[in-house]
Amino acid sequence: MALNSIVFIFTFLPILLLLHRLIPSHFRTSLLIGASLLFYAWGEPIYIFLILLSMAYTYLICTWLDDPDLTQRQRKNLCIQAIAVHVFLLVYLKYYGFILDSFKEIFQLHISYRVLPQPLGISFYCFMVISYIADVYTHKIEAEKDKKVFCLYVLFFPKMIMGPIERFADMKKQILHPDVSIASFSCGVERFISGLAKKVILADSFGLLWTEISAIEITELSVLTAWIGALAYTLQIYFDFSGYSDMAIGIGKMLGITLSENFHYPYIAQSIRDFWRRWHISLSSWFRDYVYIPLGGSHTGIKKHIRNILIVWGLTGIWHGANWNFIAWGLYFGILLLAEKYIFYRYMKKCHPLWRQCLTFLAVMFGWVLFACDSLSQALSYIQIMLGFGSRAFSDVYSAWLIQTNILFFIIGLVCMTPIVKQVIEKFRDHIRYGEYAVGALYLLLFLVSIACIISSTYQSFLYTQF
Amino acid sequence: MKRVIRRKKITYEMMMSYGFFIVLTAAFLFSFHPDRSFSDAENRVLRTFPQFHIESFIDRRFQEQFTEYKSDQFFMRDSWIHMKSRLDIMLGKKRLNGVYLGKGDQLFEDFAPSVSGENLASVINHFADTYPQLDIMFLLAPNPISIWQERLPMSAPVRDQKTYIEELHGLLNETVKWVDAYSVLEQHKEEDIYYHSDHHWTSLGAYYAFHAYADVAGIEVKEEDWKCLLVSDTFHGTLTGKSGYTGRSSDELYVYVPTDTSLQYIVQYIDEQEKSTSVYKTENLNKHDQYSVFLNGNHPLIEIDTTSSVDKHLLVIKDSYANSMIPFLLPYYNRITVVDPRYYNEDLSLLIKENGITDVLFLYNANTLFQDTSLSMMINE
Repeated sequence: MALNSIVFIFTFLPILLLLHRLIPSHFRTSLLIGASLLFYAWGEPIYIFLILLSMAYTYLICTWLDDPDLTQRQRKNLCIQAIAVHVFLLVYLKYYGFILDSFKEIFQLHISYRVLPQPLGISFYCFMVISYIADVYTHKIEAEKDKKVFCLYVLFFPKMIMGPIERFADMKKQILHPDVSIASFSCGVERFISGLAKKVILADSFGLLWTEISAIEITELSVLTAWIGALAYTLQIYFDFSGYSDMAIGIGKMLGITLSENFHYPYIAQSIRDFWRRWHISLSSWFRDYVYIPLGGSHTGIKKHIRNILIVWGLTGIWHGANWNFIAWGLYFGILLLAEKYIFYRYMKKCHPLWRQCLTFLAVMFGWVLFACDSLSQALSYIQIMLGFGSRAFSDVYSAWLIQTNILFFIIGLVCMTPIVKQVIEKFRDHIRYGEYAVGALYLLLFLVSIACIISSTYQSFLYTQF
Repeated sequence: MKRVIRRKKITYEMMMSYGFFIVLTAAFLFSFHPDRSFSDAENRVLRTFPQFHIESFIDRRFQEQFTEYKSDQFFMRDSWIHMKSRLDIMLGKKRLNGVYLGKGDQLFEDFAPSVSGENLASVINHFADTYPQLDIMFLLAPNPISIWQERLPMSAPVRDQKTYIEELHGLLNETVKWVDAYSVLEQHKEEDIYYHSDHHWTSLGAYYAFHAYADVAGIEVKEEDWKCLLVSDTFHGTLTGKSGYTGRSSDELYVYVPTDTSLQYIVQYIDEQEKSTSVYKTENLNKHDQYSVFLNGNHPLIEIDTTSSVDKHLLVIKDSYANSMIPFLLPYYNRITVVDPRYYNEDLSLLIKENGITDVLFLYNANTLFQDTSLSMMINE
């Protein structure tokens, strides 16, 4: 069940919150494990056994890794084995079809195969487990003895489907000492409602717009329409993903567990490097700690640095999906980062910050076109249209219509992607008389509107038999 | 100052926490209200509580059905949907679920042709070639999206229906007599010739189109032959349903009856094995879809025998626009057979041969015709 579904918000959540407050505190961990199992089983009634198996395996291997009698070599083998199992799991469940298709194309083979459905959140799950194994191996943490703490770390449901990819050290503290104060709960409510609103009011509206535009034959698009589409997707993916992270963090807070921040206003970043410190933070820091730095990072000379960057960004790309355009998207950022570091660095320093922001935003937006299109060739022809090559016209009736009917949505979206809204709300709440009531009412209103959006998305009117 | 902020903070936190919890609990408690089984607004059966089996849980059918159940039975579902459509309009949206919101709360169904004019023309020409002895007429009603295009929202990206209609007209054989409904409806476009909340024409629109038909068919109609009766003012049509927007007060629905009451007739719904002495099914005015008052909605095959002295047998091949025009045809034929190709699966040539058909009328609206594949399937069979 998605965190923005009626079933979750109005059945699962109230029951869980009520139980969480009513039962004695030493049962809370067990309650959350049970709830998480139910949550995952609801979406993946079969794969949950795979997750449980992998969890038990990781627990055993890591406890063994901490055995002082093991030689360094044995430890290394064990660690490699455990990581390989999870990499294999991920590759088999997510990339099997893609790999075979690519082979087929390259070698002109005829292979028929059956792809298993991909379990929910498998990419997030595998990365989290790998981080745990690696941390135990490098002695950053001790293998957890308490099975309940370990279980909850692995299974905690708000982060299970779309992250954040939590590190064990951070989460252990939270599990052992949950913050069940009113302050934390209210902060959670705030985060949950703003995340929900981002997802169902903004992201879904932009999503509809992008779906509509991307359904049009690319050669039929005018330049302006193509830009509107790209902007719509850019806003959709941000509000969708960061909204979901906000919901996860909010629910975590309501249950006393603070998850790590995943987004920090990425679209106001001043450079690509800055962007990736603000976008999907838990993923980029994962790649930094478990791939980039082990490969030698940037301290190994230019050639190796370039190699490292391209490996990391190729992998980042393919992590997002089994298709060539995701790899291209990743490498695009890798190349931009290298260019930024070795070429543009000097010029960028002289630029006005606002210019840097705009340029970064544009670069990211072109990146999203690579990401959003179904194939690389399609993405390239879309970008061609955006740049004015081969388009029918600069603008047409359709683009005028899109602007006219969506301008307010775009303005709201562009304002909400900056920290302004949050700052204004906090100022208002703390310094204006009765401001706290007004802000409370605002959140209530946002919540109600979000519910209307969720209900409305299930609206399906059947035409009468006569039409 | 610090104390004030602290106090405000505590008030705020209490309000957020308890407020949220109360809303959740309220919604949870409201979910125990008795289930509805049918939604008029959406014209569909709503999901009721699904049965739990371990197998249905494993293949996730239970989860899907339970999710549907929860949103279908959500407290005041229709009002939430209405709220969302209001919000969309407030933010400048002019199209909801593919329905344009025009000036004066006029709702427009989009014109989305998927069948080409050449295709349709070849089918109809083929039909005309097959039956040279029949008198064939073609009435293609334009939709409000074309006649009332000034009422569309500004720069709405719609296709020009008129060019499609004219193209088709140009491609049809001479033997197919064209009834120019477009001009006559355009002449009367200031009048209520279409419903505001439904995709059909009103009885008035059908009445004008009937005049155009009468000219072509050589029928003489006098103004005083028909009188018009208001039968409902509570009609919310299909476009209200489709868009989820119920802004406008409802439409009025009129029916026409002949002033000369001597004409008797009997309507037979063949597949349903039902008979009626009226082309109007007034019970349907109590239903949500009141347009089905005309000929009780759509049927594969209807036969109407009249006491008319004109010894002609008309075959109407049609969509739902015809339902409100057929009543006008009764005095001029002593038998009318009505076929709706979307539901009719029998052999049309056999029907024509066995019934001694003398005249054929194709009666469609442009939206349906340019999307319809059942007509060509029926004729080419």
